[in-house]
Amino acid sequence: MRVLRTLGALAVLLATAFGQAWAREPPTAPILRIETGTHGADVTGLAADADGRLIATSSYDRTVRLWSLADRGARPKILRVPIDLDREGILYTVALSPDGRRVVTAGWTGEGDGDWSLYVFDAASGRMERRIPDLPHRVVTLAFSKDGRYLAAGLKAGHGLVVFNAEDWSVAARDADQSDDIPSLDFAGDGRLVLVSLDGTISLYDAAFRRRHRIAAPGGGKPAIARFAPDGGLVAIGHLDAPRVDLLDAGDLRLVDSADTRGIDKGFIALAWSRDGNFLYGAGLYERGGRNPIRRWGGGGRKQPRDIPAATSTVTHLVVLKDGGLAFATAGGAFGVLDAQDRVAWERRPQAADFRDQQDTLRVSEDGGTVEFSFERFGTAPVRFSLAEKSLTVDVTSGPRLDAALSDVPEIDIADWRHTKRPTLGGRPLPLKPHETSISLAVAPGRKSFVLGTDWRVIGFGADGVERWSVRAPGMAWAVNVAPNGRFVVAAFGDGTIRWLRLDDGGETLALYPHADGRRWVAWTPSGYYIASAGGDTLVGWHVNRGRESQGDFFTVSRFRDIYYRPDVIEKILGTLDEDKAIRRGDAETGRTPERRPLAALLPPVVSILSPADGTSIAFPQVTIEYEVRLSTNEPIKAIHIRADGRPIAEIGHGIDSGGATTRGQIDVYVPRRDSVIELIAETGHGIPSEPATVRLIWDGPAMDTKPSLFVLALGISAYRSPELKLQLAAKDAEDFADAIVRQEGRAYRRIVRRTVTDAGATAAAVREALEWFATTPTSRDIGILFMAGHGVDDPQGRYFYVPQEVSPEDAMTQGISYLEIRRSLSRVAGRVFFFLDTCHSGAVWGRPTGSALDVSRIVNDLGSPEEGVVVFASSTGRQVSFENVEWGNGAFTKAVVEGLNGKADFFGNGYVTTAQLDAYVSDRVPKLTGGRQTPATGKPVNADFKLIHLN
Amino acid sequence: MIRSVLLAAWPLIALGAGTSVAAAELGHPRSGQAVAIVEEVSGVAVGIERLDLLREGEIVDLGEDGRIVLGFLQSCWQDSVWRGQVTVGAQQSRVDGGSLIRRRVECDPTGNLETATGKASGRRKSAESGAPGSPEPDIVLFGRSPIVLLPGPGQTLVIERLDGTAKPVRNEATGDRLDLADHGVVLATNGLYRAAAGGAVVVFRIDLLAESGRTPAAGRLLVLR
Repeated sequence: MRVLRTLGALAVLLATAFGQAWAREPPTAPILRIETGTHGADVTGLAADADGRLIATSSYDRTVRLWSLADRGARPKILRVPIDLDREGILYTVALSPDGRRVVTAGWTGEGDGDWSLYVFDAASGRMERRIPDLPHRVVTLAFSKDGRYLAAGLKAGHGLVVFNAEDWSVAARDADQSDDIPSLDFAGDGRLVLVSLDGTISLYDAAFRRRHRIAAPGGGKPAIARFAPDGGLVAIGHLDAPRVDLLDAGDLRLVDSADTRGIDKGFIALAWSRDGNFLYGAGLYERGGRNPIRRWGGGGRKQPRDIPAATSTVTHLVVLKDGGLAFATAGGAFGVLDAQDRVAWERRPQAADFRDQQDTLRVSEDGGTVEFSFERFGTAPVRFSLAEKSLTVDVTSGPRLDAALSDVPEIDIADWRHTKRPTLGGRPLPLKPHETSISLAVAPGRKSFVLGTDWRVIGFGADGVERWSVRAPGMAWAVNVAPNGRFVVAAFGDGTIRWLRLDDGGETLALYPHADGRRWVAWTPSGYYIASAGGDTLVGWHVNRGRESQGDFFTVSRFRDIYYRPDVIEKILGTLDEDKAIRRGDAETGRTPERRPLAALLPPVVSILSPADGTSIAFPQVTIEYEVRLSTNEPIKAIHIRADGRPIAEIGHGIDSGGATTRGQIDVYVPRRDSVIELIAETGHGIPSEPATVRLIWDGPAMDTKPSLFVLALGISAYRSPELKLQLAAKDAEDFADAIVRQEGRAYRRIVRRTVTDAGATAAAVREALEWFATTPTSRDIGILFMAGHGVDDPQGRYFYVPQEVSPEDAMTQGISYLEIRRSLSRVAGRVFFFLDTCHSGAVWGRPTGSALDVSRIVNDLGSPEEGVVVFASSTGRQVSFENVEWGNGAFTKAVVEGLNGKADFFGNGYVTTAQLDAYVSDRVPKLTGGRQTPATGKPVNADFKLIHLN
Repeated sequence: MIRSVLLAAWPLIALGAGTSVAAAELGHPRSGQAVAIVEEVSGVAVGIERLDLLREGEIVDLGEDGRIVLGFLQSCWQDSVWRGQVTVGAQQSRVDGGSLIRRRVECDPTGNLETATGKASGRRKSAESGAPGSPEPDIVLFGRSPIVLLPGPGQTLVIERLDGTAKPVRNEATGDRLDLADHGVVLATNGLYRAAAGGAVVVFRIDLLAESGRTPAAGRLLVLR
């Protein structure tokens, strides 16, 4: 299987024949994409600027990412090329100009009528500066000359070399006299150029791009990588098809020496020299002991090697950094940096489940609504996702019976289907495309049809072996299964998704992306209606093309939460097999007005911060923010919100003159006297906020020496007037939580103001008055913490209400405290604000149809969004009930929170507890207390980690 | 035009020995309390001028070409409004038919509130001016030229440095308010000062990064009432 993955990495070197030619303009309809902040597929290109400040990576996931070494790649800038639903936008390579200002990328890009394109981006703004068209074939590799004057492009299939003047992008030189792909080229400091071709040759050009030498690669194999030594005296050549690294004289390509590759059994596709030329680093298709080490040779490549156990999948690219570190990229989608001592300093890995070797792990319930899978290869540590429960749980012992795929049945004799190109039925080959590899198989329960998963497709066959349908796979179809009711194929793909396809025609009805953290997930229909866990609705978004000449926009589905967050639709989708029907039924049941506007009419504006630049150091809190807002629709701008670490610091609103499709402006703001992340969010009349534009500011001035005050409002109701609502410990939870906070007085806070409203005192009027106090009392320097325990309920449209003490279950949705009231209070708090919500004690009190079961995920996602900026801790997820136990003395959630606040979350013994540490503690503790039946959820805006508690 | 009566006597921020402080509860200003200071005003707004204090609920009609800048004392919001109608809220304004730029400026609202209610220990220290050592400041100012609201018109303001030697600053006021930026007074950054007028006293510190000139009013407001 690893071989297959490796071959995927090398697909750039291989011709494929699949799909339709792309039209001249990219599609205008928004396209759903997964976005986790890291690459979601093989990293295909890696480049660094001359100062080693910025690294660019390209990927099959159709994005380029710019990583700042200063923040260890924490917040990459994402560049999006035009894409379609087929292969357009798949990137093979990236180059970064030595000054770090320009990014060039290419691959399956700008396909026209037999011609292809390069894209040039401005690194600072992320804008596409231009498209360079009319290339005779796809570009496989790119490199800037060391002085930045030229960009060389190696093309596929014998179309040779094109060199551009980077000043005006005119063609400076061409060499079409090549007979295969050019997988690698490199410039020397003096302008010479070397390239390797899969036709087995190595070519050397002088600084005027005249070819001076061409030789057959030593050993007669296929050279895959060429790198000049820093002094230009040698060229190192790695070979695709042999464990061989040669050192050639860079004057005449004469073989000088070969590096020691003993112990390596496969080829080298990545090489890099240290800045001083003393070390040569190499990596490639081999693995040793389950890892994919980087080999380092001293003595300019001639001394004994040392293997650095850096990666866990094929290392495809290496780049040496200025400070002596080394960046590496892998076929598994990871990207990382070794420090000067060759230790992994940091790494950004894909956040998808690894479904390899899970054909026997993927299990499905009768109705297809529950699936079991593992985040890990080979299916260790399985988990379950339940559509009905809206939960992802490690508890695989309860719930419905799940079945593994049928594959070995006497009625249908399928053989050689595991990882072969020649699966057979009754001894006859099944029809696959050239080079297509069969990976997974499931026979339908009636044993009259079966489904084959391949590296490109999912194919439905009749028992006679005739293909009935096939659909393109979003990644290798590692596992397939058919629900016992015979209506769905459930397939687990290489992009980390599980998708439900109709068995009849392969039509997709639902997709699930479970994040590798095991907590977040999102499930969506083809039109984008979705449900999500807390934090899950930022994992998927809409890519919107803006023509061939511009970068694409991206909007997470969370932008459209009010319209597209539809648990009711998702619940019906597997029953109806039809999205339209599910929507109509959902609208009818919830009383919603059908949404008739297409998504394209709802797109929010796009905001950019023109200055200050990301990572700017400041020593004075007043900063001028220059921004640009570009409209996506004709709707004018209503307001621009500016936030620091999630809290509002400025707003431009009411009657903004949009001045056309693009508006520029500036505003002087005061930012916190600490490192902070500044966000701009624009809003138009239809109320859908933009994605935030962000810059990170580094505080280089004196710290503020005054401590904040902390205001805590704890609401807890156990003694409801209605006996059926009675709880045991909610009021005590509120008191205990407030007690834990009050202990902080004199430590992190100069003053703590505590207010608890419990039981008989927690009438609707009293709760509203307390919320008003909470909203208006803390100042901008203070902290506000709201804690709520008791009963909560959703109405049929999913709107939440907190149930006051005197309110009966029947009146909860008319007399309860609505979520909007709570949100209004939280959003008005001037300072940082935290919300602890423990109101899911018994959804069963209401049940259906009086009210839908409580879905706290939406609240967490809404309040934790950039627009609201609240750090939210919720007691449970999905439809889980929160548990309380007299033996614990609290509800499970409050018990864990109080323990954490009292010091157990201080994992490192630093004497303080941050919000992230508290999150980690509570997330671990609550499932342990409840046997996995309750999983807390957290929502937090950017840069929200904060030292909440000091222990001394 | 302003539709409600402007504040004649406002109870929020009263400071100093012997000053009777209205019992403003620590918390959001009650209806009727001053919540915002007028930093700038121009155009047709009648009966309102710079450094006036406004109460929650007051309405200012700016007409077609009026402009007003309000500094909110508790929230530190500074609202700049052009045209339309402004309704003063406890923490920010509501604007109908106009344009708004709102930003959070640096100010010490807790200092104002604490001194207003007499709960600040610093105030007691400041009142006991003979106590040894440097007293804790009642408030931190984020501008080097304070705006001072005096107990009454025609009083003499005296500002002394407590943590260094400097000649005391004396200003004779004709009205009941002084913007020391208009008088060329620039205090030292990080300096600890005591201001006194008409028997009222307040100790304050100038923030290390404070700037001179007409910086936002909410950040340099000193109340001696």
